[in-house]
Amino acid sequence: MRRTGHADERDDRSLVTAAQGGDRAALDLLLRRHYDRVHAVCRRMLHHDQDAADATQEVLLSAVRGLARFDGSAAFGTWIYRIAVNACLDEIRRRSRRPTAPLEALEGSPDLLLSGDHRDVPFDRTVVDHLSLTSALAELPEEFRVAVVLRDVADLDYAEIAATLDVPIGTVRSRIARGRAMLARSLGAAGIGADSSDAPELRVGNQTDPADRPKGQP
Amino acid sequence: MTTPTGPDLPPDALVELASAVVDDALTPAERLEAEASAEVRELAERFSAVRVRLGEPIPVDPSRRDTHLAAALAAFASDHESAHVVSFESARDHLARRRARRLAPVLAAAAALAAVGIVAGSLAGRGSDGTTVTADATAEVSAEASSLARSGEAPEVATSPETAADDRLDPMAAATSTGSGDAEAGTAPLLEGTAPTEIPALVAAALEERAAARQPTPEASCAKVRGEPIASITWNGAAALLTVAPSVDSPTEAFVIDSLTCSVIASATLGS
Repeated sequence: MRRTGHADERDDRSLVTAAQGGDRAALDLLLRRHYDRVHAVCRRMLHHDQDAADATQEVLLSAVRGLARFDGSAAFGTWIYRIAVNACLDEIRRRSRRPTAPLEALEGSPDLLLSGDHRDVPFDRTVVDHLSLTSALAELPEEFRVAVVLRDVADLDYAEIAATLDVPIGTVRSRIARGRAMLARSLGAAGIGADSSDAPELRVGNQTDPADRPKGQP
Repeated sequence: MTTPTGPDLPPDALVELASAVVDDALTPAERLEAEASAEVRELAERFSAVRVRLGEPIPVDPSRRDTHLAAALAAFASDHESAHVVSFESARDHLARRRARRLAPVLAAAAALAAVGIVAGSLAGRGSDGTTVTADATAEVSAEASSLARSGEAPEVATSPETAADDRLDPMAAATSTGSGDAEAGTAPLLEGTAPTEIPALVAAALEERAAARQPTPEASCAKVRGEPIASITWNGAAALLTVAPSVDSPTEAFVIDSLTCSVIASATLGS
């Protein structure tokens, strides 16, 4: 697992309890702790900087307004990522009803790409990597993209993703595998991340989840 | 030296196995199978690289993050200051009060007009012994008009803290009073439930409301919900969607969907 400890020793559960009791500082810490990952989920799902920012804002507000109803049966992270997924799916639906902008226009600015953790990476490589990954993600069928993002960005396990998407665990496993295969193929073709020169050919069958197929079908 | 390959796997199975290796989600039998296949191992390496790339931090504009957090905290402060539980009954009473407030000026005006009409009629018919009766009737109607006007204005003039909080908080009142005049048009208040045992009754009530066209078909705020939506409801005080499956015409199952997370939070099997 890649989940790491936080500077503040209080765990999410105690922060949630404090926030539900009106502790503003606890809520601030809780949201700050999950902000970057919520933003990453939105950014990866929507591959559009401004839409991702808007969705992130919406997620925070929804979480704040729904906090009183959060019963702790799931981890706070799972809960807020679920809100994020729904906000992003809503945005995707809205987007499908309006004209789309070309991919180049959807990207963040180079300045932003070079900020933070990317400052020590050569500019050209950063931008090319970023564009290729974004393009590859954008090409994935939505159900594969959502599953892969929840696993590889939000770091949810199969059971949590299954609960979030309301699908069986077998379907989650299949969607993640197929999504990764398609991504690896796209990124391999772009010469990024997964060198495909010696790797076996990635054969991704049709886009129906095996788990969704009627029994007896290949 | 070549790496030994394992048993021939169909492409889908191979991809799934390699992906499960990355996630350490293998059964013992799958683990043996994966370890025996060079192809699976190579694919797993590529998938790991994809996972690493996807998991890399995405730069966040710090000022934007601060703005977002500030807005969320402001919403929290606003909600928390005015937070108290509003029961369905009080919400319904509140709706009735609002309806009365809105209708009061209209009723008062109508009553005043009626009074004027009666006075005018009596003046036209003066000369008989009807004067006293007419004066009494006018006084009575005027008093009624004044009473209606007073009852309509009273809650706004002397707003209690509770009523004021209702005005700010009550989503049902807000939903039914925003411009369209739904309350006056006869839209039924939202149904409310708290336990799965109440679901069959909620379904019956919702279907009745739909049949009477008092409740519009709800627009699902979730991309995908289980069942067919039949009503927007409140469930333990929170916004939710009531759905039935397999169809509205012959429902055998009902679900309560949380409007925020879009997940099923309660369900019930319906009797035939």
